[in-house]
Amino acid sequence: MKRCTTKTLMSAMIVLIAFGMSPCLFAAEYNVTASVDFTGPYAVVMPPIDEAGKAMFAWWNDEVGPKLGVKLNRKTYDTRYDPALTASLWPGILSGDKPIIHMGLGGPDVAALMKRLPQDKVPLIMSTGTYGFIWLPNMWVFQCRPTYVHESAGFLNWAHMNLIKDRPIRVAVVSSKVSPAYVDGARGIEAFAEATPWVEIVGTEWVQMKPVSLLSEVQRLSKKKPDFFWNMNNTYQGVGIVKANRELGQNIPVILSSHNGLQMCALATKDIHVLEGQYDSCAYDPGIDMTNPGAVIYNKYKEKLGLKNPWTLMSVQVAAMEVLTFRVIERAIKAVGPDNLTGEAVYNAFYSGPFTEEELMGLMPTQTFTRNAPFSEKDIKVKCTTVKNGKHVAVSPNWIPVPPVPKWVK
Amino acid sequence: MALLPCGVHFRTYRGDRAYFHTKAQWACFVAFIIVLFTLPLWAGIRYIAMLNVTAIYVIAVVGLQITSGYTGQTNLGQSAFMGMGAFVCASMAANLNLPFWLTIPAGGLGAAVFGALFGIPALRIKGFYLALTTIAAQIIFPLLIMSLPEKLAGGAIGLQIDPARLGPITFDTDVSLYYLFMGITVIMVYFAFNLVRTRVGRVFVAIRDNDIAAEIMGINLFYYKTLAFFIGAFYAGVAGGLWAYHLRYVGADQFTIYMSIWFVGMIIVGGLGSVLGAIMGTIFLRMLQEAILYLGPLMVNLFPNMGEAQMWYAGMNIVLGGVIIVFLVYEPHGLAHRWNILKTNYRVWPFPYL
Repeated sequence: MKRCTTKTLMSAMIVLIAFGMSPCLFAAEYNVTASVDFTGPYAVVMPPIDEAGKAMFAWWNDEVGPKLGVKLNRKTYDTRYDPALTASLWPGILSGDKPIIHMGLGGPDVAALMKRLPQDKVPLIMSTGTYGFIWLPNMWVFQCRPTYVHESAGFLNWAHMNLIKDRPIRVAVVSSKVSPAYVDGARGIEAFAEATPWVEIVGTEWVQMKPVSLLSEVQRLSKKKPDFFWNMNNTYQGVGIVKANRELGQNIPVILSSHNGLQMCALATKDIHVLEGQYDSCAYDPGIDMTNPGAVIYNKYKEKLGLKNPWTLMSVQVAAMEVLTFRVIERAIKAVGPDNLTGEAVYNAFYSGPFTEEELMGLMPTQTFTRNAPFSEKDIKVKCTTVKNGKHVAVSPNWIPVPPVPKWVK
Repeated sequence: MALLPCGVHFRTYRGDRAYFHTKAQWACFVAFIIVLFTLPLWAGIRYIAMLNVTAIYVIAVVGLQITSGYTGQTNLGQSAFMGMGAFVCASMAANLNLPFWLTIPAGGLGAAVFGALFGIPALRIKGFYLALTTIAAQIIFPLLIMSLPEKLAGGAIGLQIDPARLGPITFDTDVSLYYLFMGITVIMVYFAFNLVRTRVGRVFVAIRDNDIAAEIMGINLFYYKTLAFFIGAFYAGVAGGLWAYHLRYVGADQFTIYMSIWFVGMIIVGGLGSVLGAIMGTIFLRMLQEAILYLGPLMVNLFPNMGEAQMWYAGMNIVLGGVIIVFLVYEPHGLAHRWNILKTNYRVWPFPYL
């Protein structure tokens, strides 16, 4: 009996010590909420976005979280890209889930939440490009990317250094008045051209949201002999310009963004050769290098979790946002401890100094947030890609610096 | 007219026409108002937030009921009128620093004038053609906003405003906004109930039933059709003003044609030609949307192997549309009609009929 009691006590002590050494068993759990849209405008691209989110969260909870004594729960809400639904859902999310950070999807999230976040003390992080209307100081909204105008300026800088060095680059803008975001982008690129002697806007055409044909508009602009067309709106317009070029027997390259870039347009045209010579520019890694640490993690968890979508720029967009979020949370944990994480602690951690490109797995350049703007204004860089001989390649292996862009929103 | 409770009769026309005939009905109404205004004390904040957005929609849909349900004028631009009201309200708040009790009515008037312009064609066209004209309002609205001077309407960047204030009270929380929205909703609904019982309301119904006969009887069709759009758009404008103070940011892309279509769906589900139907339809569809938003992630979590998240979320939309279709098949007159049947059955119970 005495031996049994001693053995039992010893076993119990060993178990207790083992538990004490396994922080994951007593990990503090926190919720990270995210807006998704499976039924609205984002429905087509949502599956790769959602899967990238699942993979990165699984990786962090397996590899990083246990060492810090924290587990992050990812909870998604279908806001349908609608500010009314976001505004209606948010108080419940706030009181029920008590998130330490919310991952937004686009403009509706910002519109619905930006005025109340300082009171709710939960930061919002976005993976999309910044719009002019939120380029404001002291925001609780954090953008992983600068504005689309910055990204365009980066490409134009590369073109100025490598293609057209001896005269102003002539750019023709194709945009749409249907959406304020599109008008904002057009105004921004016009402001950049006004402030930059080596860029000239030769004309602007306003088209429909989903045009059937852009032949007339492209023909009018082509008479002004642009070097590039500019369109960062949607795939319909991007592909429309490319098709119009072919119909006119010319190949004036188009500068696109990530969401309507070469990968997305290739899905629409079903033939990448159609996009030969076109360009896209984005402040993320373009998602064509499978040796990127983020790509390696995603492919590992793709097999483990049975995910279906390959690693693309859409995956990069979300993975980059999530890696930045994780790094911010790690700094917040270091500052306040694993049991005291709050939205305010995460918010303060954003300003704790630069998040280096290595920390961000090469998915983004180094990010340094200040209270002057919702995105990192320091050393903004982009990567640009093109289609060359039917292959989607980067124009440069390195990040391309972005020249100064004046703030066009007063 | 609904059956009166047993033993209730009147000696005056005023008594006969009253909404509440018995003390019990008055007591129920007062209890309802008390419950409505004490809801934040015992309901969760999620429900308060849902009711805030629902209250805004109720005002817009009641306005649409006046235009479409009572006057028979098809209107697929109610969201654009709401947006116009939001921008007028936000512009006056941001540029002139006026208080909300001036900016919201001003927003209503601005929207009313905008709406009346699109009511003018109603004299010559109706049905499908009028619907297309009001869709034009939906298309013109964002272009107009972005063409106006940026200082006036915000242009592409929209307008940001400070929270509504009344003396020391600042309406910047869900609970404080609830009281503001409910107060204004009660006032607007009260006016709507009374409007439809006046001569103007009867003229609207006459126009809906047969506009040619109404004209022969001496009704000025141009004036009253335009007035129907004016009043309906005024309601939408007030809803837009509340929307502006709810988000404290207005952008032209917040007021889409899908919102207008949902408004039409709400008056159809609630019952055309009834203010109560507009309210019931709005509450029903909003609660259905919220229930589906809640069920989607729950299904994904409970049955992760039964399909991707996309399947469940899209499936929820199919359920939403299916419920509306089934409802219209089995109760095409709307929820208000079903409510009246319920009241009548209650009053004649246990007899099946009188």
